[in-house]
Amino acid sequence: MGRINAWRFAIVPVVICCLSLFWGASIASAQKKPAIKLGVNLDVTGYGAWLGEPELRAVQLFAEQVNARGGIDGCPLELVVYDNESNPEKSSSNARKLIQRDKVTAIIGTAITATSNAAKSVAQEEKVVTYSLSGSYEPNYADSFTFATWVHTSGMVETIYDYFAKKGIKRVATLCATDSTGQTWHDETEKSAKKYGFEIVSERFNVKDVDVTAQLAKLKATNPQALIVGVSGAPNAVVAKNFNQMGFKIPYVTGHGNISDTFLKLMEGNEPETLLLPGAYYIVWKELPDAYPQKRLMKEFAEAFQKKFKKEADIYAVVAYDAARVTAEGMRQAKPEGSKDSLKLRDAMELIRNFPAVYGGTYTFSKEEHRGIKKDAAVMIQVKGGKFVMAK
Amino acid sequence: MENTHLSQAIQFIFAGLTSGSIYALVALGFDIIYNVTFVVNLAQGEFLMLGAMTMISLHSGLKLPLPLALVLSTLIVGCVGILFDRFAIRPLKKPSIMLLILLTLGGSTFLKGVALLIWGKDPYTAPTFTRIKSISFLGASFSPQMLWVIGTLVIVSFVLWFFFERTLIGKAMRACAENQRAASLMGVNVKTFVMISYFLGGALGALGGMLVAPISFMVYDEGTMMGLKGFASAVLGGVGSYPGAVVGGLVLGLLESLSTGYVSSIFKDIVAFLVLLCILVLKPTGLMKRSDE
Repeated sequence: MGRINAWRFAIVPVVICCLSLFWGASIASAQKKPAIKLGVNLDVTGYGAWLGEPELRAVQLFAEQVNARGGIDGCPLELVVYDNESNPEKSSSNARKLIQRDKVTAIIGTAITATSNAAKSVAQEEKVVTYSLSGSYEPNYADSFTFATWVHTSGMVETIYDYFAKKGIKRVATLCATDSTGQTWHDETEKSAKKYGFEIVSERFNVKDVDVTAQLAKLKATNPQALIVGVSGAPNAVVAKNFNQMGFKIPYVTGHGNISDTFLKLMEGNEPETLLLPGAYYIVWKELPDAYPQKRLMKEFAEAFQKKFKKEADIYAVVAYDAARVTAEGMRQAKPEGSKDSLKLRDAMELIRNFPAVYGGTYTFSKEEHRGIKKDAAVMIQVKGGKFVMAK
Repeated sequence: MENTHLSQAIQFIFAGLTSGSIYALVALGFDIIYNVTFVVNLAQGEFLMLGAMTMISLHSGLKLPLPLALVLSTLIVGCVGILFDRFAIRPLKKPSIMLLILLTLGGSTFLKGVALLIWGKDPYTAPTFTRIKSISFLGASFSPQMLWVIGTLVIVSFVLWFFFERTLIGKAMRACAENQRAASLMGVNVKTFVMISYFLGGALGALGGMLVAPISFMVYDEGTMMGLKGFASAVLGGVGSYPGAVVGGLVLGLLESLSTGYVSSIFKDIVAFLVLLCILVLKPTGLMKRSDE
């Protein structure tokens, strides 16, 4: 016992020394201008890592660029990064740590819906702006402190329907999974079909099914002009194989969650004649005319990312980069000091209008709209020769 | 209009037979292991996943010719079955049914983990065995892979029947199933036969996996659901009965596709499992097993 107590006493002066060093350091930097702290709570490991990793890189790139240009109003931007291991509990404790201990002004993260939902209650309780990068996170509710990126599924469905209307397609068949992604696709396609005056027939399937010819046979009997397959990832292989085997020649349209190299590899050799998806303009930035207002931004980002990380920037890196840009823009307006000013920051972010997005389109926020990005940021994309190209 | 109804009905039946045959192969694997050891091997679905993944690696990765890849994967997964028995089941000092089931559950998680390390989280798919895109029949169309699936099921059923009824090894295995103690008194080395049963269980699972991979896709955790469906088929047909496994699998597959076709695709699983429950309430021993057994 005696020894343990002695150790405890030994720790006290060490802590005091450390604190005073810290104090001195912060006084030294205060002579310039205090740093603005931006928390990063991302799924860098665990099953969300494939999203969290490029997202973290993009935020790091952004901070480096901002500081190279003299920071935000002369204040350097300081990142405080915590990995939540794709674990909801860890995500909420990270958020608390960032706000209470590190006193960050805003938090970027997280990458997946489960960890975003876990961080939401902390954001609301502490009233600190939290920018989710998850595609299906819902940021619009009363007195929201959370923001989200990505065009909502409803906007993606309208992008598809606009394209159909242009091509004279009026009879639409849908085959949506019974999981939560599929449910959203099912509801949104039904809802918008009324608005566009389309005839719609729908079937459902389980993501674990090895055969969907029964569903396709029922749809085929109604003679549709296009098929929308509401599912993300591997089950597309089953549907596409059955679709080809049954001799369908109509366009096969699937969700924006499928824009990945894994999807291209999976569909190799099984691609339907016309394979379409809605997605961000950034995905086809090289094809965009120079007159496209965000092309220069996209090019600069893609090249800077490539130079720093020797890796192509995917769409996940883009949403993280955009989230950091929007937050920094809000900071420029609000000039916050520490987490107590996050309310000011949120109100400033809600006033942002027509802010160009690397994603494509522009961000326009309001009290009721914390996603800020609409279907004009999305475009129809076609898979041709194992690549994503703009649909003609 | 009549014609579309007919071709739709045929399409539903084809769809059911395809998934049903896969379920039947998994169910056969369950039954073989159960009959010799009385263990319900919950890792059966993982054998299926391993078979598919190994075949894809050998064929698409190492560019081995398909027949060689098929044979090698069957053998490899069969050996995984043996290792599973040797290192997970046999070291148990006092095996009780509960403990054994838990062990196979642990084994299934372990195999999933190993597959995750080897193949990652990406889904893989394989080309069909024959290069024909599709076959039409009375307005319905199906994948040539379906013929492979059903053909394999027929051949495997026949070979198993021949093995258990006509060969000495097969008869000895049946003896182990009847009464292990009596069999060992008659000079049958029970341990060897337990090993053979695990080899066969693994190999059959692998066959199912290799056949299903070109139809759908394979991910490290895809085997679990297949294992469940296979187990349901085995129960439906009567646990331990080989004809029961085949009939159970096909009935479950047909139930699923017909309820999709004629009821609703949302209620597919509910309808299929409701019918399964009803059958089991009316005939608790399963479709193909006499109640006196």
